[in-house]
Amino acid sequence: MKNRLKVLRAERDWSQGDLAERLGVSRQSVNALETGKYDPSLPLAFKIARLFGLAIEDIFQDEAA
Amino acid sequence: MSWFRSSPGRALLALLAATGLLLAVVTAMRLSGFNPPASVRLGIGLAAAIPALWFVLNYWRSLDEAAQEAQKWAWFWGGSAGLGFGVLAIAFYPDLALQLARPGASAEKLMLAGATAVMAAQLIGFLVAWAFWWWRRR
Repeated sequence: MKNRLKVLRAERDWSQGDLAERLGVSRQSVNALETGKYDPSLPLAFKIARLFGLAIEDIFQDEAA
Repeated sequence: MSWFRSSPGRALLALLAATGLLLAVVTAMRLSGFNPPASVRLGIGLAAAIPALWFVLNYWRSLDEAAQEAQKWAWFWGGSAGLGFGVLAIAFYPDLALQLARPGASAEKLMLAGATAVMAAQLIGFLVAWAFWWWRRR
């Protein structure tokens, strides 16, 4: 699944560690999310959306759609 | 040092701590010549399981969802493959258990050597799969 996490994080000048701390996950997990190699659960996706003030579909794009 | 605060780092530290504690208890029992009956040993094992369970529960809760997914994936694929490999190795090469135990070991010791070998194979399979899961998601 593609996502805009890296761009959104860069816009706020956050490091992966900063984002990880805000989400309550590890930096390794943020890296896996950003590279699209790990898809978050719905609760985590909602948490990410709330953090950036966006809808989930504005952050994550289903490649099959 | 910050690596040791990450999920993989804490897992490694926990594994080292548990191994060290186990070795210390076994060594102390051997050196003191303390050889209790099986029922007492079972009791000691069960008593040790309570803090171990508490530790594991806390460790599990401290993991984020990706780290939990890595654990589940690694136990399913790596643990199962390691277990299967270990069982097949013992089944087709029963002499393996004989080589792992001391010469003239009792049937009980041979059983223990075989079970330990299978558990070690399972753990190795888990560790390989766990490392692979994180390596794929670098």
